[in-house]
Amino acid sequence: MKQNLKFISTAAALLLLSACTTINVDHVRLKDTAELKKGDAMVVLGRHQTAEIQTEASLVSCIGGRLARGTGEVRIIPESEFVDSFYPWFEARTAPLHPKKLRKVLDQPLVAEKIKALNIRYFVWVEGSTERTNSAGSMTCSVGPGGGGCFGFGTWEDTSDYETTIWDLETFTEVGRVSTEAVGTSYMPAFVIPIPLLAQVEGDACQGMGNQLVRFFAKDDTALKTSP
Amino acid sequence: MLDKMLRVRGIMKSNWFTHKSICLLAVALISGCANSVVVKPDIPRPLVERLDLKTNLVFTDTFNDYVYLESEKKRGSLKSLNFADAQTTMFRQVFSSVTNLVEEGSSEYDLAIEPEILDFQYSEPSETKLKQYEIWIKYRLKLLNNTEDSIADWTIKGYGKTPTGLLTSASSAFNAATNIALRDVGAQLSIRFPKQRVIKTLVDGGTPRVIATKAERIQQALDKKAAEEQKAKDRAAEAIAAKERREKEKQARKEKRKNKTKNKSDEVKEAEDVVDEADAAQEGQVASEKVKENEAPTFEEPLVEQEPSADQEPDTND
Repeated sequence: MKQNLKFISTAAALLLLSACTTINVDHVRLKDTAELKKGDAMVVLGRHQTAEIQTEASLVSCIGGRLARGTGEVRIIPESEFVDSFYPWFEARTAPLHPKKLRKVLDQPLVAEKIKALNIRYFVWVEGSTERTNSAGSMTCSVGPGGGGCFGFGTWEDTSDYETTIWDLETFTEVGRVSTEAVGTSYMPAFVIPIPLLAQVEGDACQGMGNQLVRFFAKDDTALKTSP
Repeated sequence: MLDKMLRVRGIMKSNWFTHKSICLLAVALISGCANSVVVKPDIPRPLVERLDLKTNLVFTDTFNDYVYLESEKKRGSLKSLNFADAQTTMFRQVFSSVTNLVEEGSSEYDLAIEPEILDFQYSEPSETKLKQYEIWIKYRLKLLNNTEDSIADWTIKGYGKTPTGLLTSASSAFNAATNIALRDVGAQLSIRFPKQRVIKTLVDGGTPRVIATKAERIQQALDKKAAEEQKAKDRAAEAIAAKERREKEKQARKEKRKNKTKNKSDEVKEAEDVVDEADAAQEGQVASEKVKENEAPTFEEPLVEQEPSADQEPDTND
C-alpha cells in the first residue's frame, strides 16, 4: 500500500514538473476603441498562402476558443466552417491580404449578403508558426523479448512567432495588431522510462495572444475576463 | 487470432507483451508501408454568381480513369494516388455554380470544356524537410464552341499542402493535400473564369475568335498522338540499346574478372611450382646432407682395402 502511494506521488510530482516558456507579447492599437455589440460575430483565420507559411489550425482554434470565453457576447465562427461556406474567397491563395482587398471581395453580392447574415464584424488573421530551433542530447531505446527500456537525455527548444492582425469590416481598416514570441525548452530524461518535461510553447503563445486580444476588445483595457 | 496463435506456439507469454508487440507491429506497418490512396472529394460549392452560359463538361476516358502511379522505388510512402473521382467532382461543382451545366451528351450548349491533366507532382516531408505533404496538379482546359472549334486553351495549376501530425497517416495527409490542391484549382477557376475575355464575349452574345477549327484540332491531336508514339518508340529503342550496352559491359566485366582470376590462378600455380621446386631442392639438399652425414666414413675410407698396420690391434673375431 505504502509502495503504491509512493509510486502515485512520484508520478504526480513528475507530471506536475514541466518545462518553462518565456513569452513576449506586443500589442499595437490603431483605433481607440474596438466596439463589440451583443450578437456580433468574429472570425479567426490562419494564413497559409505559401509553402513556408503554415499557421497551425490548432492554434487558430485555440485563439478562437480563448476569444469566445473572454468576450462572452461575441460569437466566434470556426475557421473551417467559415472557409467552406465562403469558398472560394478565403482559400490559401485567394484570401485577401489587405483590408482594401477584402472590400473588393465584399463587392460580390453573395459574399456581402452572407457576411451580413452572419453579422461578422471583425476578422482576426493569425500568421506564424512554431518551430524547433535547437536540440541536443541522445537517447537509446531497445525492445527485447524480456521487455524494453530507454536510456539517455534529450533537450530541445521550440520557438513560436505569431502575428495577429485585426480588421474591422465596418471601416475596412486594420484596427490592431498583436505579436507574440514564445521560447520554451523541453527536457526528456530517460532511465528505463522516458519522462517528458514538455514546454507547451504553442499553447502558451495561444494563451498570451488570446488574453491580449480579449483585452483589445474589452471596454476597459485593463480588465481581463479570461481565466489564465 | 494472431494473439492466440502466437500464445499457443509459446512465442508470446503474457497478455501485456502480446498487446504491446501487436501495437508496435501496427505502428510499424502504418508508418512503413507504401500507400495506395483513393482521394475522397471534399470540395464545397462555390459562392459565386452564375453566368448566363450553357456549358458542357467533357471528360475523356484518360481523365476519368486517371491514377498516378509511382514508378520511383526509392519514394516509399506513396504507391498510387487515385483522384479521378475528386477531380471530376471539383469540375462539376465549379462549373455547375459558375455556369449552367447541361446534361452529359446534350448538344445544346454555348461552351464545351475539356480538362486534361498535364502534370502531377508530390513531395513528402522526408524529401523537403518542411514537415508537410505537398501536391501540385497542372491542368489544361480546352474550351470549344458549339461547333467544337477551339476558342481557348488555358493552363491552371493547383497547389495543396498539409502538415504532418503525430497521429496522421501518410494516406490521410495525401488525401487532404490533394483535396486542397483541387480546391485551389476550383477557387482560381471560380474567380477568374468570368473575367476571361472569351467568356465575357460569350456572355455578351458575341462569337469568340476560333484558334483552331475542329478539323485542325483533330489533325493536331493525331499529330500529337503520332509524335507521342514516335517518342515512345524512340524511348523503347533507347531502352533496348541501353540494356544491350549494359549487357555488353556486364559481359566485358565478367570476362575481365574471369581473365583476372585465371591469371591469378596461373600466377598462384607458378608460384606454387616455384615453391614446390624450391622445397624439392631444399629437401634434396637436406637429404643429400643427411646421406653425406650417414655415409661420410664410408667415403672417407680408402677404396682399396688396406692391411691393418702394426699399431692397429687385430680384430679379435678374425
